[in-house]
Amino acid sequence: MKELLQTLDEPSRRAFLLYAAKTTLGVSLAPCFLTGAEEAPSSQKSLKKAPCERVIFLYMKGGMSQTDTFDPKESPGIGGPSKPIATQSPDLKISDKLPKLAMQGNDLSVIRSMTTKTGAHSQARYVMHTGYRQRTGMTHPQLGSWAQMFLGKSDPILPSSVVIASGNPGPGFLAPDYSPLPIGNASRGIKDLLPKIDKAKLEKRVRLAKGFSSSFAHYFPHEEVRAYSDFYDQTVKFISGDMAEPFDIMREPGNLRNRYGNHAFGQGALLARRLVERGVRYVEVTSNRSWDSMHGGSKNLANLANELDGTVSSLMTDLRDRGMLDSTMIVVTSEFGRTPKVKSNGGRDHHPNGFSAMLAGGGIKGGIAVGETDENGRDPFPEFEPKDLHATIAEALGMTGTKIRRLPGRPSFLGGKPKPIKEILA
Amino acid sequence: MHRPLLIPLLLTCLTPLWAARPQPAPFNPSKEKAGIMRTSVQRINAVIDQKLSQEKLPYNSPMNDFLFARRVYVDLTGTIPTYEELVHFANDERPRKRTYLINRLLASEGYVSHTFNYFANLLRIQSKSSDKDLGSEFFMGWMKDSIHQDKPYNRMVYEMVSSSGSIMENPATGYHLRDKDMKLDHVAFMTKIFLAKDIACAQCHDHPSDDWTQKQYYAFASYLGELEIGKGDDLKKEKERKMIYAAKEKLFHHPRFSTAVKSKYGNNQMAQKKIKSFRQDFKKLSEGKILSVYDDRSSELPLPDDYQYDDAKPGDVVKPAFIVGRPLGGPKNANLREQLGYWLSHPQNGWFSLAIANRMWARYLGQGVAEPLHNVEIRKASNPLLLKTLSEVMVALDFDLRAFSWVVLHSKSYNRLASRVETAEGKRFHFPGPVLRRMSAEQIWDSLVTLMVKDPLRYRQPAPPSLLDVRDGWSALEFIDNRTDGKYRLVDSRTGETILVEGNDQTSLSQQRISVSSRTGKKRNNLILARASELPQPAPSGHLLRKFGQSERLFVVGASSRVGSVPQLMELMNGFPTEVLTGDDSLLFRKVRSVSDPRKQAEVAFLSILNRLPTESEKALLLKQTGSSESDLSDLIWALLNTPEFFFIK
Repeated sequence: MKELLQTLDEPSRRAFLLYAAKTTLGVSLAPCFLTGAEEAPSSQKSLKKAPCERVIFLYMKGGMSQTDTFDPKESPGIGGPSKPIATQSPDLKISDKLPKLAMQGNDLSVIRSMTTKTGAHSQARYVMHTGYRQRTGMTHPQLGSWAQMFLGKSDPILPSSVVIASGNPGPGFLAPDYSPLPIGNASRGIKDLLPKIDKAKLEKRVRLAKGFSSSFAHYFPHEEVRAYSDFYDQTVKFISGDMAEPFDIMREPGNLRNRYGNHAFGQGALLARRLVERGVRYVEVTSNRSWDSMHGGSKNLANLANELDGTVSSLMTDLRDRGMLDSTMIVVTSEFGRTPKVKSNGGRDHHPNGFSAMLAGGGIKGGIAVGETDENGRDPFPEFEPKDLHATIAEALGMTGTKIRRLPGRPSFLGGKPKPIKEILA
Repeated sequence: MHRPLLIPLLLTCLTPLWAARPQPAPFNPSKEKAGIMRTSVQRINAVIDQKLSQEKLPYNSPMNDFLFARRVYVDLTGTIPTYEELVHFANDERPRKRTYLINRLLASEGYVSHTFNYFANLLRIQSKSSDKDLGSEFFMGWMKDSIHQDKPYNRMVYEMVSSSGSIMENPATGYHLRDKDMKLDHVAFMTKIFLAKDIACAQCHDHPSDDWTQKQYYAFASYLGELEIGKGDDLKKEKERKMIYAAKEKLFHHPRFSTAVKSKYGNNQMAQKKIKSFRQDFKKLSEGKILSVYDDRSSELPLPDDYQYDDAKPGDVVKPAFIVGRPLGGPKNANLREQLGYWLSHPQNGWFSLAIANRMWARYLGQGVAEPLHNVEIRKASNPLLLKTLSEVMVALDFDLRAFSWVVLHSKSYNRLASRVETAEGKRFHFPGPVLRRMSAEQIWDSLVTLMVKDPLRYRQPAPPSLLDVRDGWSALEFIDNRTDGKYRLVDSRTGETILVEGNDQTSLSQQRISVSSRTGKKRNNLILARASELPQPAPSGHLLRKFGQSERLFVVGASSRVGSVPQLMELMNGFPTEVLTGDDSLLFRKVRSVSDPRKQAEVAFLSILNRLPTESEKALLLKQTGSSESDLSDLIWALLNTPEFFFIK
């Protein structure tokens, strides 16, 4: 029974999930998985119908200045070194630091009235990744894990979510098989997870292991044992040379690698494209270049904006060239923003009340700005919280047809009545 | 026949037995108790016999010695047996050798370690929390000591529920401290664990299907209404401060103190530095910066502001009432938490004995008589009479978990192979044998450690003794030295030497390598080859334990997992533990290599890892595929570790 999950059709896959939940998590969770799965009969359909099939989430760690990116200000004394420029779309202006993105203005939109309740980096980062405030004794799942829970695995072999250079909280309280695969360094891919022995030796070992497994598997024809054999098959495929291929960006043409940018963020975005192309549903890439522009330095800002502009515009172009932009959502955001007014030392302070997110591609209406801050960059209206952004992505992925139930004793996906930002959805 | 449980609030004076003394309490039940144990086995067998014959089902096949030893070692000590232990047992010719083995393992260090894992999961014990100074190492030490001394389960629960003071005086307070600032959740966890009742929904609204109303929830929670966690009232603080000053006086004026410090730290400069840091520690203590659990008679737990039902108003205070069963008397002048502890752990509290009896049965048979374990409905049990019998046995044995385990392990059901096929959807399972189970994450890790390190439980995470035990220079030194300031440490329990301190690379003094490191890319990974119970609780994310589903210690229900995943198996195939085991200086590798005959080598490897001999076809496969070079040995070890059979309990 190879590729159990691949060969199963949707109802038996559900049965399997239910089974796994029952035998391994105790009956307690079963009703949930059951309702979760049964109330998602549309999931197969909605998977096809969903405007967006995959997400590349680009996370600007440290607090991206919205004024210097997607919410430039014109008023004198406000805005600092950035000025608004026109984009391809008449309804959207962005910062002059992002000229390449401006040329693709018809395909991207901006939410300008994001707000978050905390101005501390790590707490705000947690909120942006989970939609929840951090609580003692509780870790909430990241979006990709939720998507796998409600939509199923996106590929029989590849992980459904991958996080690159990220401090993403992982599967939270969901089972470990909802874990995103973490990759530290995009250029190295999964080299560190691969066997340190040659292929022939690995094959020999696997042959032996299979031989030793058969008597047990034969005596106990349990679903659980079979599932493990299948996981082994998947893992072997995954780690033998061919399956490492999706993670190997060195196989991309050199000029394309250059276009994405010869820095960790650019290479991460390229790896993200390579992975979603091969079946990974959710990839998060973190830009670890410090957006923490507390102490100024316009040179630093120029570099950051330049990196962002080059990488995201190349990603959009690349996806468009492959016919995937319509079904792949790109999200660019940060834990919070930066004060529009520049401090005397040239820096900008934390600004949780009024920052921006850029969305493009699958499921997104292009060329518009949703929400606004006042001329001083404050008072976002209407207020959108990270959980609303999550709800928006979930809606585009087709996760809303699923009536999302509470797990017993645990918070549900999207707590506290979030509102999907309909205006930005195509 | 049952002793009343109310022990006056006696602050238990314990030195950390677990970290210091190697041998747990011997398993030596009285004649009377041994008699009850034997009749209990017969009672349980009779109930299951009857059910099986009624359903026309046979028991599963019996187990051979190898399988029996593997099962019993994994279930009681948390790890597969070593090659030597297995062979020794197989060669034992005494007719009652299975009983002897069970008796011996019940009194082993492995039993303490493995049972600690069980309770650490149930009580969601975490080494570190966002509140820095909860001192959970005291609580973990108390838990291990309680198991080590064979404390009856109901007494353990009483001590936790009624505990007061700071964690340094009374480490059982760690139970309440764990749920600091989440009292209502604390109550919901309490009923799930101790009463097999899930009333969590009633925290916010009347339970839709069950009987609980929100008012009942608050009535039960009112038993914790006076519970406070904080710096304590003034009186309390004063007492504590006095005690600490007294300890300080004793410490610095004791003639043996500076000798002790000097002899421990060798050079004078280091000793001076230590003494200075002791002074600072005591200053902190004496300034009352320590959290305490106490009762404030003026505190109460009113109904929430959004209370929506007609039987009471928001803000009303509800009179304390038990959520199941009936009041069972008890001392009149006891405070609310003492009353709660008394009632909860009382032998006549049927839900309490049922909950733990069903949990222990599930622990060894892979499934409870009633599921889910945290919310039992008797009518939904696969065999209500069996559930009742187990509960009665638990009471008859005075909540002695080792005696109860002995009974379960002697039942016919336990002594059969796991069921070959799964129970069909909607059918009840009648225990013709155990359920086939994947090992827990802890059992898998501990089994790997058994293959890597000789006598791994020699290395233990120390716990400081209670502050009340500080009597002289030596004990003061021990207290301060073990007060871990949140840093993880490991001691060699045989020599008392600290061999590892978090963040300090120079401390490894052990004869064998218990900490190994590898370089992957730029990052240096340190792997501590100690048992799961002696590692940080829970292990850091990314650790093999976590990949195999160790609980994050946030929830009780569904918190640990036995599900497979690709990253999990990648860890077992290419991860660091396997790299160590297939390397030529691992304990296992050296054991296999020391045998000269290649066929014998295969036997040693099979017996060490799968605890069975190779079959004929496996021997043929080996002959065809591999020789006896070192590289072939690595391949053999790798292949055996990477068969599902390795981590299932047959």
